[in-house]
Amino acid sequence: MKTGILTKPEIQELFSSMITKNGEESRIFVPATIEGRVILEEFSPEREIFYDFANFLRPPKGIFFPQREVLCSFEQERAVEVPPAAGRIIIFGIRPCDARSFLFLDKIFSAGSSGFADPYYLGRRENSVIISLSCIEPSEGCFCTSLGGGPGDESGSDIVAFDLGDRLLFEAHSAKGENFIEENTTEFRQPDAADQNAKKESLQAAFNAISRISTDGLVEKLDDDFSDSFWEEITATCLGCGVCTYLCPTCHCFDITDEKDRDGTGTRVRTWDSCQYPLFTMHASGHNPRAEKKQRMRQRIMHKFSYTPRTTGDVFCVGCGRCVRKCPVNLDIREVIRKINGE
Amino acid sequence: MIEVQNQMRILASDLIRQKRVDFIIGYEQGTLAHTSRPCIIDVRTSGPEVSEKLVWNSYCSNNLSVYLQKFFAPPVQGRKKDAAPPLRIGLIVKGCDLRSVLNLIREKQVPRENLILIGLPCTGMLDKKKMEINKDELDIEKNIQDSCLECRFSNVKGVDFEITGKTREVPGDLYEVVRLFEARTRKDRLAYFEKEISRCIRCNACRQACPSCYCRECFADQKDMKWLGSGTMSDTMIYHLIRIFHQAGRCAECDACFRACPEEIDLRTFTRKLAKDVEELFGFVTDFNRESIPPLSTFSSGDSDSFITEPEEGG
Amino acid sequence: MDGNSMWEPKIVAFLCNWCSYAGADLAGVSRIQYGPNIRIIRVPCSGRINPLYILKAFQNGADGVLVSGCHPGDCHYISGNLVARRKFTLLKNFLVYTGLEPERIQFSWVSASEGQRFAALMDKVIADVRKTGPMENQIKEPRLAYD
Repeated sequence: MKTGILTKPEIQELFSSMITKNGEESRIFVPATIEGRVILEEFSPEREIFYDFANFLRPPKGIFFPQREVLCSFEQERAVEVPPAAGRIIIFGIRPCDARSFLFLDKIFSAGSSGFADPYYLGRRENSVIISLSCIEPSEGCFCTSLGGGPGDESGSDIVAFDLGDRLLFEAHSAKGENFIEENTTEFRQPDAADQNAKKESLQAAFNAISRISTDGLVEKLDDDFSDSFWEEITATCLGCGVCTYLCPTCHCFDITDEKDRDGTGTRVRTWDSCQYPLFTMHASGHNPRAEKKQRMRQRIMHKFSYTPRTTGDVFCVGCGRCVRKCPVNLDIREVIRKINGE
Repeated sequence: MIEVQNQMRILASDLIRQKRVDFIIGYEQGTLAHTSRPCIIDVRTSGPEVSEKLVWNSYCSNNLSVYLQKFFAPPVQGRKKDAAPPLRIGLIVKGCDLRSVLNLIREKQVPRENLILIGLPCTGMLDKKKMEINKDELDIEKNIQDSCLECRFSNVKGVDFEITGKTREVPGDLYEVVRLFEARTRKDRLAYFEKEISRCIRCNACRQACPSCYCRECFADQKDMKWLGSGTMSDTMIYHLIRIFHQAGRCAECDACFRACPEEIDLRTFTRKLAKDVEELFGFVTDFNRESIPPLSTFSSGDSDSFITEPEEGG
Repeated sequence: MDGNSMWEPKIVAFLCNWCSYAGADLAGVSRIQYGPNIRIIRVPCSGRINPLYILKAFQNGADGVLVSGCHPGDCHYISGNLVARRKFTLLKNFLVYTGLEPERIQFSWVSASEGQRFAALMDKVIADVRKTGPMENQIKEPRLAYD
């Protein structure tokens, strides 16, 4: 495993030099603050990388799978395809939970599950380097350790960086990551024992702060629960908004619509959609198989904890806690899982 | 507040014991720190002891009346003749919830006779975002929600059971945020509006959290005549303009939309404007008066014509 | 107005069937001259106009919108325009509050016999919008953090 140490100002310099390097343009996304909000923002030399945060409000899936994406434009009978965006993408500073979500999205958008490889998602994804930043202060509502993740988890990351105060320890976990460190090797210093100790300590503290749920045998329990009245109870207070799905790093449902302009031209756009909306399953006939919110919430839980484990082998939840923190009525997915477990 | 909570629990358990309600809607302890959340208790299947679940504290900010309308909405296929009688709902209300309930009654969405309203005295609810910034949890006045700072209706009236206690003083300037915004230049106002709206992810939380947004088919969801596109800037601006405008003369100023927004978009600067105009132009406030007529359902021959364009050399 | 010298304002006028549309008709048959920048949409009553129509007109490229109905008291449906008056008062205030130029959204009353007034009104609205300039293109992508 290739490793290396950089101080924070050195990282700033490294990225500044990478925006255009050897004639290749890269889009680099880093944590930054805009008016007090921490967001993942495109890097420029003037933009200072921000390290003191728990996680972003928005999941990073939008980089590869934007909320709104034009697939083609048309004029009368003639359609013009809009090609997938090219160019290298470097994402720095997302948390390991979010990096892990890319593994799941990859399965959805590559040919494996459906036989259709999505050129838009994959075009961006294949040309990307993910450098995640280990978690120091998990938020209330985080539960990644129950789902196979952790504050220093490497799945989905090409490189994991550990914040050791004034400096960062980089560890490569894929060929892409090794290449990245190798290409920039003159910049990196080798870590010593003190660095490794500091890393261990910060991880342990974070690990202890993360809440836990049990997902043992959940797939079978959910099978038994499908028509249970319990769904009605837990969704009684649900407002039916789409916060949980839009902020979820693994939710990936979308809708494709044609939007016509007044002059006969138009575009075909792909937009995020949410299973929490009645319109999501509304048939042209007016019939709606999921007309009630208990059915829609059941779909959300089942999709993550029952259907995808069967079709892809993974629970489609990384435990980032966004839905827990941002639900307007505090409908806590951890609590739902605990109830299914009979706790 | 503990005293109010105890009285509320006793009252709720009495109502359950006397079988006067089918459901009780109140607050329970949430799963995060500083969080209470709505709970809907079906008391037909539970004993009076469930009232112990109810809490009352400074985090009970959700507007509970948002759950009322669906209990009484006619089914899509029309009400059957032998349908069960409408349910009786016991609802915990603070000032803003009660104003929303009265709105629903005025708009004939909810029958008053099926509600048992339990009014609580409100000293203002705390704003989690402010608490995160200020860190000082004990300083209530500093961390109180902006909507509560402008509230004149913390002392409920016309409820079935009232628990009395300390309430908020009526503030002096009710529309300061609007006046400050009005004083800015047009370009500045537009830039601010665009900046706020640009963060919108169209999750519809503002609409879903609003007790007055009960349309069976929202204009934003219409498919047959598709009014709104998939989220370009102008579509999102139209969504917000119309959603807020639909609350003209109906908004209970509870700020449920503002609180529900995950992106913390400043909706209140805009919702307050309509409340101010409705009050100044038509003298209407969504208060505790059940009989008043919503201002946009009526008119007066004396309404101002000052916004009308007169051609310079009229014919 | 360099670069815009070819620009002509596009104005959408929502006219009520019973008064203002007839007023426009009268202006026409009386051969009263006014600017050609108006696209008229006939509606049953000014009370029929949903604020959404006005916003959609702007979204689809209108530089200005005029709404006109019967004079207060003369509504064919007795009170349609009186109810509309309240709605439009609030709407205009609200749109101006959110940053729209007040010249772009205008309301007036024109009766079936006021052909002259209709033409003068058109000239005024066209002049106002011309002075204000073209509507900034509102059809643009949202600035989502990383789209």
